[in-house]
Amino acid sequence: MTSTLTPTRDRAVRVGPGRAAQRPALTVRDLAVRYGTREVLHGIDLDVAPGEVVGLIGESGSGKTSLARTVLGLVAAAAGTIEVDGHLVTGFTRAQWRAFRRAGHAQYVFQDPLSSLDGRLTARASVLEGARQTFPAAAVRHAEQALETVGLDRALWESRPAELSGGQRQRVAIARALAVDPALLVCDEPVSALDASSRIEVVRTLTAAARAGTGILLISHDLSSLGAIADRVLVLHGGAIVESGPAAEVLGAPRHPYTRRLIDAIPTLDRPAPESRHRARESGPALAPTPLLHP
Amino acid sequence: MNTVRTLLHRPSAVTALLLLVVVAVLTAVGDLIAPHDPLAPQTSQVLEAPSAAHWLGTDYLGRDILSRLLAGTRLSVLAALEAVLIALVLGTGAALVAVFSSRPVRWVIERIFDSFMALPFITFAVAIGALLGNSIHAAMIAVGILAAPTYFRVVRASVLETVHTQYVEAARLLGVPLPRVVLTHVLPRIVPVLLVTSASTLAASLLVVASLTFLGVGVQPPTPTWGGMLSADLSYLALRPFNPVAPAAAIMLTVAALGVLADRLRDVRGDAGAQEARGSSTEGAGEAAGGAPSATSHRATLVADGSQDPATGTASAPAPVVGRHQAPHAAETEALVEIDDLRIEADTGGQLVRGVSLRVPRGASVGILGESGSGKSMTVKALLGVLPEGVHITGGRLRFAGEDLTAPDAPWQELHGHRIGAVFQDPATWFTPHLSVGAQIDEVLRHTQGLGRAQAAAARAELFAQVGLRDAERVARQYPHELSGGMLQRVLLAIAVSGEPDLLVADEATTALDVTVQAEVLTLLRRLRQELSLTVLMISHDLAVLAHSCDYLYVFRRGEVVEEGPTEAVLHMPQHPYTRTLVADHTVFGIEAVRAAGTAAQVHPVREAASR
Repeated sequence: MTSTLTPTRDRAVRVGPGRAAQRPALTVRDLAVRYGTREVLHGIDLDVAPGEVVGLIGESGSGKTSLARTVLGLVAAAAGTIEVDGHLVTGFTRAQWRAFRRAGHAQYVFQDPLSSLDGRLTARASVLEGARQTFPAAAVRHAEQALETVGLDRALWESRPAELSGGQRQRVAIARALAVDPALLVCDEPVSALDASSRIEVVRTLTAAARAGTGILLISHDLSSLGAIADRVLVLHGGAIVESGPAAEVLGAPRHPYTRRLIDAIPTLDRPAPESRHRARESGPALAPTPLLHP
Repeated sequence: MNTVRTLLHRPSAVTALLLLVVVAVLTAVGDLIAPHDPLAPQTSQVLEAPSAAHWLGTDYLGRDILSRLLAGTRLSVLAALEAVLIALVLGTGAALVAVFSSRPVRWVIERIFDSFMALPFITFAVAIGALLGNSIHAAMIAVGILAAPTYFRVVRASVLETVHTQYVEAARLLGVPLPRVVLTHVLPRIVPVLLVTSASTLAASLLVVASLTFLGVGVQPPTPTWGGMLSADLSYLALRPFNPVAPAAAIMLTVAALGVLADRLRDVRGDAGAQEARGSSTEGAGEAAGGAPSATSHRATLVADGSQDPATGTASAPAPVVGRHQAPHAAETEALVEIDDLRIEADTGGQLVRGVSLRVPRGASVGILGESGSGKSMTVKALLGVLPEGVHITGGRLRFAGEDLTAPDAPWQELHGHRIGAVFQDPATWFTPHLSVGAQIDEVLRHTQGLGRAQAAAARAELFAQVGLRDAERVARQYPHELSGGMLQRVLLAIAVSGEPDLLVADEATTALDVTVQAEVLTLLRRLRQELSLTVLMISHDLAVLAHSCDYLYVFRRGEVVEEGPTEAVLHMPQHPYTRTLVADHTVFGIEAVRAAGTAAQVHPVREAASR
C-alpha cells in the first residue's frame, strides 16, 4: 500500500522518491495564536514524524481546534513557526496557500462527516474532488486507491452520505483526505460523533494511513480511542502544552494534575457505587470475575 | 426527482401546473389558434354580445375578444418572463460576486441593491419605458432591475449559508478553486430557492406588465395584451359590463396559479428539509441494520484474537434471542413506569420501536443503552409524550404510575413539570437566548408551582444551591451563552427537579459535555437521586456512563430490547452477542486497556489487532 500512497507526483512541489526522504510531517516551534487580545495558544512546540500518530487532548476551550486550524492556515499565527512537510507555511501569502493546498501536503478530517461531506455527492465524487486538484492526470486512480485504503466496500462507492453508516461516512471523509497523498493528516475529533461500533472502523483506517507513512495529528477527547492508536500524547491546557510523552505513559501514569483529573473523569466499567453492589449480590447468581473485565 | 413527485401528490399544485401549461401553450401558439383575426376591425359587429361565432363577444372595434385574449397571451407573458430573467441574472450574479469579494466591494454592491428597493416599481418602469422610446423592453429592463434585489437577498442568504459549511471548507482545503466550489457545492443548492423566487417574481411581474399595458406604456394600440384589453373594455363598461371579465380572469388565474405553485414548492422544500433532518435519525435504524453487523463481526474477531474467548464465561450462550437475566427486581417494588410491547412506527413505514417492554420500579435507577437508531430515544419520547410529527405509537401499553399514557386524554399537563422531569443532550438548545437564565426558571416556577415573583426567586435560589451552582444570583442574571455547558445542564437539572417529580429522565444528558464536566454532572445526578428520592431513567450510548449510575440496564438494538438485567450481571456476564461486543469493546478498546497496558506496553493491543 505504501506504493499506492506515494506515487510519483506530477508536480515539482515535493521532490525525491515520495516520502522516503523522511522529512518531518509537521514541526511547530514557539507558536502563539491570538483572537483579538485574547491569547488562545502560546509557546507551542510540536513535532509529527512521518507515520507517527500524535494525540492531542484537552478540554473544549483549551485551544485544540485553534491549533489544528492554525496548522492548516485557517487561523493566522501571531508568533512562531510552522513547517508542514518541509514547507515553512507561516508567512504564506494567499496564493502560496492555494498552491500548497492544491499540492495536497496537509489535510483535515472534521468531526462530523455528515456536515463535512456534501450530501449531494456520492462517496466516489467526494473523494475525486480533491484528487482532481492534486493529480489532474491520475485522479480516478488515486481516488479509488484511497477508497480501497479505507476499506469502503466497492458497492458503496456510488452511495450518498445519507445512505452510509456513521463509520462509513467518516471513512469516506478520510479517503477524500488521503486521496491527495498528504504528508500530514489533522483529525479533529474524528470519532466523537460516531457510535461505539463505528469508532473501531475509523481507528483501523487511521492506523492504516499511518502505516502508509502519513503523519497524523489526532485531536480527541475520546481518550480511549486516542490511547488505542497514538504513539505520543500531548496534553493542552489553558493554551499551553502541560504534558507530553509516549501514549501509554501519559494515559497510564499521568504526571500533571490536570491530565490526571482528565483521565480520572472518564467513566469506566468498574462500578464505584457501593449501594448498588449490595443489591446485585443479593440478586443471586454468583458474579465470577470474567476474563472480559480483567484481561 | 423527489420534489416533483411530492408536488404531483398535491391537487392544488397539479391544478396550478395544468393552468400554467395552458398559458405556456397559448404563449407559443395563441395567435395561431385564434378563431378570428385579432387585429382586423369589423365595424359591422362592434360590441356584440357573446355568440356562437364570438364566444366572448366583440370589442369596440368589432374584434373577437377570445382571439385577442389568445393572441395577447404572448406579449403579456413574454414581457413578464423577460423582466424575471433580467432580475434573475442580475440579482444572482451580483449576490455571488458580493459574497466572494472583499469587504468594500461587497458593501458597495449591497448598498446599490438596497437603493433599488427604495424605487417605486411602476413609476420607475413608466419613466424608463417613456424615456427609452416607449418600448416594452425598456420597461421590462426597469422592472427587472427593480426585482433584482429580491434575488440578490435570497441568493446571498443561501450562498452564505452554504459557504460556511464544512464541506465547502473541506473543498477549499483540498485546493479546489473557487469557481469550481461554487459550481459543485453552492449553485445546486440555490436552485430550489431560485425556483420559488422566480415563480413569485413572475406573478408580480405579470401584474406589472398588465398595469403598464393598461396604462399604454410600451405597447402600441392594435397589439393585443391583457392589460391593454382591460383598459379598452373599461371605457365601454356601461354597454358591455362583462367584456373585461375575460382578460381580468386571465391575469388573475395566471398570477394565482404562480402564487400557488410558489407556495407548494416552498412547502415541498420545507418537507424535504424536515425529512432530511428526520432521515438522519430514522435512517439511523437502517444504518444500524446495514452497517453494524460488519463492524460487530470485526470486533468479535478482534476479541477472539485477544487470546481469550468471551463466550467462556457463558458456555451455553443463547442464540440472538432476547438474553434475559433472572430479573430480581420485578414484583417486589411498585413499578413507576411500565412499558409493554410498545411499538412505534413512522408514517413513512419505518418500524422504530418493535415491541419493547420495560419496567422502572419506584426509587430505582434504570439505564437504557443503545446506539443511534436503536429506538431508545423514541421510547423515551413516547414516555414523555413528545413524539415527533409523523411518528406514532401503533401498539402496546405505556403506563406511568398506573395512568395509561397511550390514551388520548393522557394527563400530560399534570405530568410535565410536576411528576416527570427531563434533561436532554445539548443544554444550550433548551434556553431562549435573549432571556436571562433566572427569568426563564422563574417563568417555569410561576407556571408549574403557581408561585409569585418573590417566591419564585426564593425557590430558584434554593434549587441552584441544590444543583451546586455557586454564586446563584450572578448565574441567574446571566444569559445562556455566557454559561458553560456544564452550568447550563445544572440549571436544566434544577428546572427538571423543581416540580419535585417522581421520575427524572436523563436522555444523553452528559454526551455533549467534556469528560471532567460529565463526571461532575453524573455525581450531581447521583446526589439528587438520593436527596430527593427520585426514580431515574437514564439513556445513553455510553456503557460506562450507565454502569456508574444505574442499577438495572436495558440494551436496545434496532428497536428491540436484546438484553436486560442488573448492571453487574450485564457487565460481567453479557448474554447477547451485541452486549458482549460492547463490553469487550470497552475492555480492549477503552481507557481500562490503556491503564492496564500501563508503561510497559510498547504497542497497544488494539493497534496491533487493528493492523492485522
